[in-house]
Amino acid sequence: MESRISILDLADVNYIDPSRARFFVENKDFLSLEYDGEVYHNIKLHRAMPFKLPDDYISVQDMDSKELFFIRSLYEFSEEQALLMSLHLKKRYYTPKIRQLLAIKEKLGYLYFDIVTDFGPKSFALRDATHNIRRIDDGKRIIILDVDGNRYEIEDVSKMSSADFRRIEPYLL
Amino acid sequence: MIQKERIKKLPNHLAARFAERGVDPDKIIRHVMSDMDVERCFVDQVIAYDDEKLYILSGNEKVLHIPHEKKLDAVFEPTDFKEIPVSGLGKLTVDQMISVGRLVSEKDGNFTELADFSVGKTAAFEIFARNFNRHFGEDEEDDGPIAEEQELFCPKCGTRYPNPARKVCPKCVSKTSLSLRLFSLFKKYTFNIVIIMLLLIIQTAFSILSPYFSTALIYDKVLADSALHAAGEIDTLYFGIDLFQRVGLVVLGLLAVRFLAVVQNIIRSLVLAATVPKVIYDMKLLIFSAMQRLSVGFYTSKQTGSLMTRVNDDANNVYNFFIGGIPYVISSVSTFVGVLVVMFLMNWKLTLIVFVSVPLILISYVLIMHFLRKLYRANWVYTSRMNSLLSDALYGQRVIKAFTQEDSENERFAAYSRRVQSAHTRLAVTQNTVYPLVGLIMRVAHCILLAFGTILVIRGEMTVGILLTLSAYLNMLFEPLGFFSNISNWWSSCTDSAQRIFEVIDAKSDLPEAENPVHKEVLRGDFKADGVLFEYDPGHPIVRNLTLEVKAGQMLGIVGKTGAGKSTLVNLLARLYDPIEGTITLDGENIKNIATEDLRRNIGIVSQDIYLFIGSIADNIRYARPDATLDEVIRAARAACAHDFIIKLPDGYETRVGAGGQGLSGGERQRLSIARAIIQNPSILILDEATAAMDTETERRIQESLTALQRGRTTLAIAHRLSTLRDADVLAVIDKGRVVEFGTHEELIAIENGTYNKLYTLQMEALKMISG
Repeated sequence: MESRISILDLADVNYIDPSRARFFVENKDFLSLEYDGEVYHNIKLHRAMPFKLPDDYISVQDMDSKELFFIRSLYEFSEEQALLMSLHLKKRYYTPKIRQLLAIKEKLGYLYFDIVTDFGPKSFALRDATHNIRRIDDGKRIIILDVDGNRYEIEDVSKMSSADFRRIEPYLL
Repeated sequence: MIQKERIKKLPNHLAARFAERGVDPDKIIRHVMSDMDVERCFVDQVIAYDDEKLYILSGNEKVLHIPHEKKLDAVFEPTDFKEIPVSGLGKLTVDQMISVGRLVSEKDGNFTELADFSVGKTAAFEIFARNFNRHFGEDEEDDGPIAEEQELFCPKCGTRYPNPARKVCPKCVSKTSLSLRLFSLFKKYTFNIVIIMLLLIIQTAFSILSPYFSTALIYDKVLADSALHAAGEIDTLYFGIDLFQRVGLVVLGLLAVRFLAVVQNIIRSLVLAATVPKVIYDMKLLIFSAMQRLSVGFYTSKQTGSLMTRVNDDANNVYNFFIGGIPYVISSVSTFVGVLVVMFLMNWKLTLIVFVSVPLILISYVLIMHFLRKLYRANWVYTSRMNSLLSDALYGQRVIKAFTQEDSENERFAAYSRRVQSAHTRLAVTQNTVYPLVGLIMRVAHCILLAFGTILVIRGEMTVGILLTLSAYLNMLFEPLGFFSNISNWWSSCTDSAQRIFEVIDAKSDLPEAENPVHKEVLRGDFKADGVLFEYDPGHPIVRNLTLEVKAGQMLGIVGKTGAGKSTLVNLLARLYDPIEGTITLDGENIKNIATEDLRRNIGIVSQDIYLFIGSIADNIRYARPDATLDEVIRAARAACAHDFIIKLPDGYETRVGAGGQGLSGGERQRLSIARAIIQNPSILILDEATAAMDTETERRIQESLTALQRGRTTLAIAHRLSTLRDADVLAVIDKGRVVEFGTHEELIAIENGTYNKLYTLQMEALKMISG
């Protein structure tokens, strides 16, 4: 019996071939790609699964967000290339890590946070804690999104000081 | 039309810092504040430019509160200063990343990063970049007006507005003025409330009297005397009343107290029953009518969605506090104080000893509430999650069945429901453990009272009746403590709710009626838009520098890609929104000056999303003109090709539609909405994809009625199918919020490589393919 082709086989993902690609940095902070001799300036990397798989399934896009290639995993690349890309990603997905939770105050249904991050102290407002305080993976890692869409991360709630943990605990459900 | 960018003056504390560095602050054209440096460390940064240079001043801005003046002053302590000659810079763009953005200069293909900022600053930087490009002529294409950025921080205290569209600062909202205003809502009912309060105080008096009659009098004046009498120590007669008469008197007194208590209870319930529905009705009406005043923009703003759904709950919250909470406060406080006074009068030493337990119990209650709140919250969150899963699964039944996912949905629901169950159990177990512990403190206090009391009785310093009465009073004293510990939470949730209600009541309409509006019974429909800019979010214009003209009686066809700004354009012309810049005139009059009622009556809109109200089909058709006769309704339905399907329905024109009513198809709903517009007989007709959900034949038939309807009327029609617009006098092709092509079908088709030409060829080819 003739085997049927799966519809999935017809759809093509333009996976990048790491051996033909070379990422490099221009003007200090702009990532570019040379692929089979062709140069794509000022490209950006966009994660398909930003929380769960930050190093896998990454889209390579041009300035207008049009996808050029797709990366299965950063680990397919040389250490030097992977490092370059992860620095770019780190910059794009800027997420300060919360080191200290100084205060959380509830006012008129909004939460006001005073925190210290690895990039310095910060205050922000948050709406709807149920949706904007997200527990990732096993629930230890936490991403907080403020009213503007800025992201802050608690790497491991179980490692927070007990005073800090008590402040955030009511909102971790 | 090149518009000059707007100047934004540096605030004084920043101007001084620029002056110190030899920069004339008066020459600074614009500035923008960032909250991080290029290393993304949180610092304050001012990016500013004058005619020659771009300046980047980093440092720390400290906001100082000036007490009593309720305003802010700020100081800026600079740490770093950079100057970049403008000649070395090119066009400025904003590179929006995921949770951060950067200001980039692009010159001859070279990119330079100038500054970084967090997401909240994006709009401000977009506006800054556009102004910069305009000033240095880097922006040949974009000559539209530039909007001003929104203020994000409260000028009084510097707190971030949670919703910049409505500037309510949670910190500066005065709870006192909020409470006063809240009380003013209930001012009308002062008389009823005073009566309720008085009756409550009387009730308290009765409840305090009750134990006195049932214990002190019986024991001390009847039983004790009878024992003495039996021992022959006293005479039976006491002021001429014998023991049995005394029993009768005490019982009568007790009955009288109980009777009066019942009477006042009935009166209070009657007054409450007469007041409560009025209060609820008034409050909901107040909110509802305030909501009607607001513009479409208020409803579409994302943050309003949650606000709206809460308004109902909020009204209940406030009402519950006033009707349930305040009377309870009064009765609890008066009971507590009254009992305490009576106890002191009876035996102050004993009362003082047991009073020590009161703060202990209060503290325990506060601690328990604090602890339980977490469990209550968990309970609430899990229950609402389970409910949303439930409605998700019910609405998605077709999909669930189509993909045979019943079992996995069962499992999913079971998991959610298990979580609810365990949260419930935890709450119940905790409640049943901690409350008896507080009860234990009360019992201990009780034992102490009995122990010391008995000693006093033995010593003859107190009677048995007084001891037993004190013991009954002690329970009454403990009763309101649980309530006191939670009153502040109750009050703060009430004021939060009140704030949200006032937010709706106070929200100013974005579309204010002119002070002296121009009244026009009939509008001809001469439209003119000049340099119109509109944006929902600052820095992201949906319609920009749009200029077009439609003459009365003409049909304007609007063509463009999805998201090009077509619907926004017609919404602007119908004044559902006001342009941020530029003007729209109708019959030579700025539409802002035309009386809203006249404008609305003259404009009929058939939009993409059709809303049918709960009611009959006939009622829905005559929505805009309730006095229309049935004959007119049927004729409107015929013109909209709706009559044929309506008459086939078992209940005909009386078929109930809207939520819970007869399900109608998309095409049928569209036809009802066209009939609704037709019966209004407007001078200006707006058709926003009015026939998109219909088959070609029905569309053609409706088209004929519409063509008849359009005669002598200005019609603005949006359509994807160009065939829908074949009768248009003029066509406007919209792209990225601007008119890119404007003219008749023939004129536009003649533009080679023009957008209209391409679109037309594409659609023709598709038709050929089908027919070929």
